[in-house]
Amino acid sequence: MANETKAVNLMPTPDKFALTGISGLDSILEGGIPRSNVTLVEGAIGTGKTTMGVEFVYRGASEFDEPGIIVVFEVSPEKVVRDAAQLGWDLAALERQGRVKIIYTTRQVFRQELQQADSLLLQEAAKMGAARIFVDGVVGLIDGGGDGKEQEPREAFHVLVEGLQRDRLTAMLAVEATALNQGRLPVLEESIADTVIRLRMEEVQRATIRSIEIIKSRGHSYHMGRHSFCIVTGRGIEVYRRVQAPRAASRDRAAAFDPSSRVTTGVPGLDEVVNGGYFLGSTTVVAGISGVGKSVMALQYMAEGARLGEPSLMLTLDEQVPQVLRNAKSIGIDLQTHIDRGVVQLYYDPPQEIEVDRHFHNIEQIVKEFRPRRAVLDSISTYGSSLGTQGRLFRDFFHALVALMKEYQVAAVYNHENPEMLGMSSMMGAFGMSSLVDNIILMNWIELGDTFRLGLTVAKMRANPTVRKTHECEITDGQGMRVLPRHLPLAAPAMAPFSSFGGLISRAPERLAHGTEPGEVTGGQ
Amino acid sequence: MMSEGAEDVLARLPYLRHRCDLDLLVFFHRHRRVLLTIERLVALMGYDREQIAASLETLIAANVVTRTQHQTTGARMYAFEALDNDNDSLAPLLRTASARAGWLAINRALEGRRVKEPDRASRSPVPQQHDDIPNGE
Repeated sequence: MANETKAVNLMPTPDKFALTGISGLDSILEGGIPRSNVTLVEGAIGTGKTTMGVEFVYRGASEFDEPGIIVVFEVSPEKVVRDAAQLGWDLAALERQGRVKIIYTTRQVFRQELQQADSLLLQEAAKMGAARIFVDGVVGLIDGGGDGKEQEPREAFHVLVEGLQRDRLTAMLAVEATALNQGRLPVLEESIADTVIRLRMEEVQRATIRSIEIIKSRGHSYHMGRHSFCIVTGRGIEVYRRVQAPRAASRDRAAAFDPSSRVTTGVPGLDEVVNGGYFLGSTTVVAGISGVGKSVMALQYMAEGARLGEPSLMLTLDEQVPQVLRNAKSIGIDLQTHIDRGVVQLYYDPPQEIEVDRHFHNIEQIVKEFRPRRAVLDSISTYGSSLGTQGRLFRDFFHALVALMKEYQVAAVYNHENPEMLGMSSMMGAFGMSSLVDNIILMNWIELGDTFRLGLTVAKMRANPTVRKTHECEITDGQGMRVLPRHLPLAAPAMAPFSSFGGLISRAPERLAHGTEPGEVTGGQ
Repeated sequence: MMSEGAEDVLARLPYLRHRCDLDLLVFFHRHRRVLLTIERLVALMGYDREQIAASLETLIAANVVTRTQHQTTGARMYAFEALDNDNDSLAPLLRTASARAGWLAINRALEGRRVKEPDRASRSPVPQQHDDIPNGE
């Protein structure tokens, strides 16, 4: 029964559920595997079945005081221990302590053992107080084992399961996916196995990612769909919940922003334009072509947070950390000092072949641990390039990101590169996400005479009165950006202020007659 | 040079007499807990049943390997117990035997030992507890 189909109010407890201890998997399983369940781990060669089974036993013994047995038929135990060491698991030490036993046998013997009242294997399990068992490669077992006493696969599997359950062992059995092609396992999945986990290697363009799917699991709810996972040297398996998975109730409750608390932008003159700053928990998109000053605004936003002692997070795909630091320095911001103080955190992830579940997981961990009050993401257009703007992947990712920031009440600013050099014909182009964001600020080059001048227009401010007038901005060396007043002081250089023009964003600016002011449009959404 | 090294490491393990003893020792080191029939061991090791039985007795008598008692099926549980207790003598041997050249050198040294001590060598294979091997193994 999956969470999409049936809500089960069952609080997993250690006496009823065995935590796998595998990073992220217990979250997908909503609290682990019911004790005494027999779990099939299916997958093709190299998908990580053995690693998962060995980690299940290792974590049980090392973290939950649950000794376990690993049964192998082909691989030598020495290699199991060696490979485990690469993942940071000291199986040899656990063996010496009698908390893990790796038993090398044949399928025929193993099958006979499970049918014996005086089974040596089960005696061994009882002697060490084993609570878990992993059997690597059960296809031969359900074939009949080659002992001339072949049973129907279903019957053979049933015998296996009964044998394992006699001693109340929580079992994980690895099975080659080649068997799936012969049409045998579906019958088993549906009837005998309690939990079925399918591992896959999926091709994404020219890359390959690992995925994990809970096909069924008796006795509790779990997160359906294909989640991602990695096998990380020194750590083991890390499962990343798919970003499309339904959000936690707590995230839904926090979906609104706090209309009483604002964070200031750090850009002189901008706070006046946005009613004093952005609300906590709000989503702001700054859209404009490359080079228009979005990243400068972002850096000033970060520096303002640091100045006020507010944890400030910058997620960057476009520029690596040293480059961000260098850019900040060029406008007089010493981000490194703020990082050293622990008030600013930069996170860079290369956008090539981005693994979206893992990427989101990392962001989620940072937000949970760092608890930023403000965040900048530079830029969503790069996500679009990586994930594609068609289909649901980008949209689901962005939804999840916005929900995460709202849950933690982060005033988040997302830079978006709009490809139009002059003016804008749409707010977010192909992304089509403008309904999801609270505030949209358009940054434009405006050609007046022989000069490109920089314009800023607040196109949307949810729950705020908005004056949708275009303001001129300037970026100066060592100082960053500032928004100029609509009416330039008399001492300003001989340059007509934006208030002297109409049609600035529609790419056809016209000088207005002296004293004429375009009509004001006000009102919030 | 290698031969001298092999003799050195063997000197600490007087119970090893036959190449099968060595191979079985290495096998149990790599498979520290096995549940197998003797037929399976014969197939895996490539020696005849009598030699395997004798080598098993040798290793069990030397407390390198333990074997479970009789049970209704033909399989026995063998556990390699020696390394923790006898690390100084076994570790150099296992290290040397892990490479083919070392394994050959130890075999030559074993052969030399059998030539020098034919009386002791003739006692192997000695399936002293053959009656402990169930029928059908």
